[in-house]
Amino acid sequence: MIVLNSSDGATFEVEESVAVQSQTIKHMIEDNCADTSIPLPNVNGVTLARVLEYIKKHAEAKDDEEGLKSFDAEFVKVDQASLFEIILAANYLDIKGLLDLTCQTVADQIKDLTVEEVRAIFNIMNDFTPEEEAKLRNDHAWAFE
Amino acid sequence: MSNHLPEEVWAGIFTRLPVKTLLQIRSVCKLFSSIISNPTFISAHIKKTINESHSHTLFLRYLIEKERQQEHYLLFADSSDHKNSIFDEHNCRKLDFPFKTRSKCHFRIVDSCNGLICLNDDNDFDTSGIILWNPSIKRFLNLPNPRVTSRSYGSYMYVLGFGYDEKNDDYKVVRVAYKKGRSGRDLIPPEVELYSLNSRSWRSFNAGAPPYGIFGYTWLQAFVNGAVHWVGYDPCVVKGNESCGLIVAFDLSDEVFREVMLPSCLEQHAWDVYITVFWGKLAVLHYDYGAHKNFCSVWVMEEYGLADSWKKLYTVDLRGGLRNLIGFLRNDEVIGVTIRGKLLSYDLITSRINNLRLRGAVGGFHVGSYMESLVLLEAESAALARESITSGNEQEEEQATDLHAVKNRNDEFDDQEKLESFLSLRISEQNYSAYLCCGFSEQELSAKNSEEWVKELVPEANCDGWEND
Repeated sequence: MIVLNSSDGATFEVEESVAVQSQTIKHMIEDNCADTSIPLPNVNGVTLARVLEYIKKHAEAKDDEEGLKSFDAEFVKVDQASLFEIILAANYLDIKGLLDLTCQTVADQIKDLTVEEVRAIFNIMNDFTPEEEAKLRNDHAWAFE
Repeated sequence: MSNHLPEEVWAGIFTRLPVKTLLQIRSVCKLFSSIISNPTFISAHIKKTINESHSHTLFLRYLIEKERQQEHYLLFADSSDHKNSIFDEHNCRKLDFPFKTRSKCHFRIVDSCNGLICLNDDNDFDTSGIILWNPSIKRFLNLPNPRVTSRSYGSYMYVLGFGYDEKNDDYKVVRVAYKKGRSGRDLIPPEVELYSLNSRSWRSFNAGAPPYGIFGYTWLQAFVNGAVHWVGYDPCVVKGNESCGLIVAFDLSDEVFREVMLPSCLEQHAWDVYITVFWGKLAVLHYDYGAHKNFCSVWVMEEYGLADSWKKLYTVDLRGGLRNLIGFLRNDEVIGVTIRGKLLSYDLITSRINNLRLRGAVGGFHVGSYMESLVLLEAESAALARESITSGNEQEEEQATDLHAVKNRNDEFDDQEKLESFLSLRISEQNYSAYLCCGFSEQELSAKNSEEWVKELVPEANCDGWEND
């Protein structure tokens, strides 16, 4: 069993065979940094719990393609902020499947949004001047139709 | 607040988006714009698109007879369906072709790669006539003049090659120019120039010119394993009365010429050999017109570079009226052109033919691979190209050439044309489907006794062995 410590002090126990889905944790174990517990200062307790939920499910139901598909679909039904937290955690912990899933989710969201909606939903500031933005739009005006 | 994802995560999200969305979200903020125009992102996006796509999109270029200087492009999905044609409305769409040729007929298509189509306008004018075009983002680039032009060089023939240099993430055009000797022969060695998109310039290198001739008239190349390939000949090796044929290859990363052997039985017939790519492997089509036979054989080099690995996979009997093959489809099918300019799909295993219900000028068809990509994002807009790229003086009327009009013309064939088509197809089995291929409708078939009808129109027709369904 491996012990993981989140940034806000929560502790989680998980089997090594499950934990190594995270390449980051895998390398730490190989480098013998995992004597007592592994500190994960970049991931808070709530997010870490969710991530562990994902990798546990994907370890135990490995061959159940249909089951995993519906699990994944439900898994990403979270608010925007939580989704971003999970992406950041998946990126830091280097869990390919989870990163693919969450990035695809965000990509699918973006496909249906206008530029203004993207800014609003993802809380992004428009740092273009009106002239700069107009030039970019005119360069490919046909794409905005 | 961590709504701020690191750049590489945004890039990972963006590689999953279609180009139209990417063009829009460039204007969300400066970070997005810089990620999307980064060449590393552009090539990662291409890799992702190639790896993830489950279907294969192709383009068809065709010309309509009696139309001058007009080209038509269709995008279609390679989805084999024996009941329908790949050119039916639900499976294909028109692609706007924004350029105007300065030659008498049409552009030469060199090849397509990663969403870029390399075109050449054969003309004597000062510009190179070479265009790199990305139709998915409506961008194009006119290549500057190479060094070798008729003004500087006299009379010459040239061959073009186009492809992607993976090592340097660069797109290159190679131009091999053969000066004409007094007897009209191509002088060897040729002058070689290489254009690199990254440097936006031509470079000559004649130290590495190949000691071979290339059969330029086919306008065909095969880009495979990072190298451009053409059919050529070695003037120093003569077999029978012919120079020994071979494949001349140019590696775009190493920038060196190499030779690849043809199947040995084709070395004396290189004139009838057409190079192509068969599902990622180097392949050749050999058209064999003999006294009582017309065949096209498909040879594939199973192991690149290994002369012994050439294998003749298929033989297509052309006596049914097929003139040439222009593109491979999934499920062992190939698109063929009849001598009347009709497109058919031909099953290489069962020989079954399907009428694709599209017709055009016989020599004007080209099939190539198509994909969406962001290469040439910063180049000129082709959306406005019609005005800027024409020779400037004329404002020619465009004919209304939408798909509907083309299809209507296909339905206008008269009885005589239908019959001539049918006779030329001369398919002995399954006459019923043969009739349908040629445009006979179900009602016509049931209303008439086909043998009588044939005799009516062509008294000397030989109807032995035909069955009436």
